[in-house]
Amino acid sequence: MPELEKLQELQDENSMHPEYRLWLTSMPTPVFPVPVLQSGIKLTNEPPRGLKANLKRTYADVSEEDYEGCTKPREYKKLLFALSYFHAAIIERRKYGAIGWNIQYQWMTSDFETSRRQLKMYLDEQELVPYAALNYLVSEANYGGRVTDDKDVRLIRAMLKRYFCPEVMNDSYRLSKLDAYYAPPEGPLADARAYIEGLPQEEDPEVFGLHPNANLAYEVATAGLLATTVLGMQPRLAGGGAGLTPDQLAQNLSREIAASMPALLDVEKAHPSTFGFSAGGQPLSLGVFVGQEIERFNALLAVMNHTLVQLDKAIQGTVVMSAQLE
Amino acid sequence: MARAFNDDKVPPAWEGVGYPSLKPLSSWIPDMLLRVEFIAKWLYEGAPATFWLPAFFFPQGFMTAAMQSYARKTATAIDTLQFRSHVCEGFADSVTEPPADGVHIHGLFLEGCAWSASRATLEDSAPKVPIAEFPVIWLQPVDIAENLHAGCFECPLYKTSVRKGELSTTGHSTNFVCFAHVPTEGDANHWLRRGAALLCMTDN
Repeated sequence: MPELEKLQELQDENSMHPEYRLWLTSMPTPVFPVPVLQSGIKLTNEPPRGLKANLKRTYADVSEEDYEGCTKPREYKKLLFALSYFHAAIIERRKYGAIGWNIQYQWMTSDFETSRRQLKMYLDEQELVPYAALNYLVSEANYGGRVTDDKDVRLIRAMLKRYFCPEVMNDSYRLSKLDAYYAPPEGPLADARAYIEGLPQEEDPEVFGLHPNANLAYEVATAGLLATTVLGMQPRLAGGGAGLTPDQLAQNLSREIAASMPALLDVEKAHPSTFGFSAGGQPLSLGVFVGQEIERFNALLAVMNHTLVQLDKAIQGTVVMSAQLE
Repeated sequence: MARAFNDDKVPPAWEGVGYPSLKPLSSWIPDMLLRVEFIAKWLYEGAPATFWLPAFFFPQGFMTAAMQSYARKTATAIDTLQFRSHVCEGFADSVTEPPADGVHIHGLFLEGCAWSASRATLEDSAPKVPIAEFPVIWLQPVDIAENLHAGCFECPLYKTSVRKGELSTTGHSTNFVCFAHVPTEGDANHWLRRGAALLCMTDN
């Protein structure tokens, strides 16, 4: 990146060709050199937010020729909508954090495009709609290729199963609990686009199979981020005033915690049954386990005791305030 | 450390030797004291009738130890066993006796759905209650060939609400503990899409 910055500064407007333009593309990165940013025109391309915007964009890219070009038009149109809905729903679930997905995957338009082509090919080549094969290809191979957590694999399978099923051919089948979302009846491309245009702007988490409470998680996370940012801007060194300094506050707290600290766990005083032996003369499995836990707790308590004393001393000024204590 | 105290955070030096937790310092301390109290009681008074699973650094180790006890008692190979989870009627204070086989565990939370004690099934959460305490579970060792899936949602149990974990050298996840089979009416996939999971602790 510093190399790029140097190159950019070496460019001389007076000596360059009048038609010379430099296009740079980049993933979001915190180390992008600011001078390069400042001297250029910036374009960003972010996936649209929300299921409706996502569907709209998908359908804007569908050509009339492709839409009408399948030997099973009804099946293709229905399943194309189901696939687009699936694509948008799994992407939008990410905003709900861990309740949406354990890991935030970077699904892309290429996953959709591959799935769309396979869908068309399978419909053209096979007599019946191969639902099982399509489900496997799309949820495990195409999109699932990015999914690394086995619990997320189960979820993506369950998501697609609701959309890629024989029932979707039925015009009264709903893609979620809500009445507004369904694969529109077979018709021209313009009708499908008009249907998407009429979808609600505000999205209930039910759209993605989640409980409306999921919005709470999303809002708490958003508010938490705001509060942390505001808190992070608070001055560290308070000046004057009647209040306690941050050091005094920390000292008070460390003494308070020190006073509440329990004694280390003493295995010498164990109840006879805790580390007992089985009928076969082997040590009890649960006894061995709790022995290991006791070691871990004693290690934690020892570190706490030690650092609490050190911090108190450092604030008093009798030991050096190390980076760890600060 | 002083800075962490002022920000109500657990100091990094403690986190390094501690267990996964998202709690701020002001609730981490009382939670830690309860854990030590639980272990101390087990140590000085003998094993309890029900175990507070979230108290442990390594809950997976507890499961293995509990399974091993049963395997030895019945002289069964440990790799031919699995746990069947029975959701009990009450919470920890209603349990006075350990089960004949297996163990009782308590102190879990259910996120993304709710448990109906009267119908003994999962149901949708009440509005504004995204997470709720879960009753005692009896982990019963059964033969590995038994089908635990029928009529059940295979509910993942995690240590914290982050859910995501890394694989540690022991082959265990740093966050995922195990699956519990929780009875449900209707399609179990519904709870998958709800993002339902059991957690060892809340964030606050």
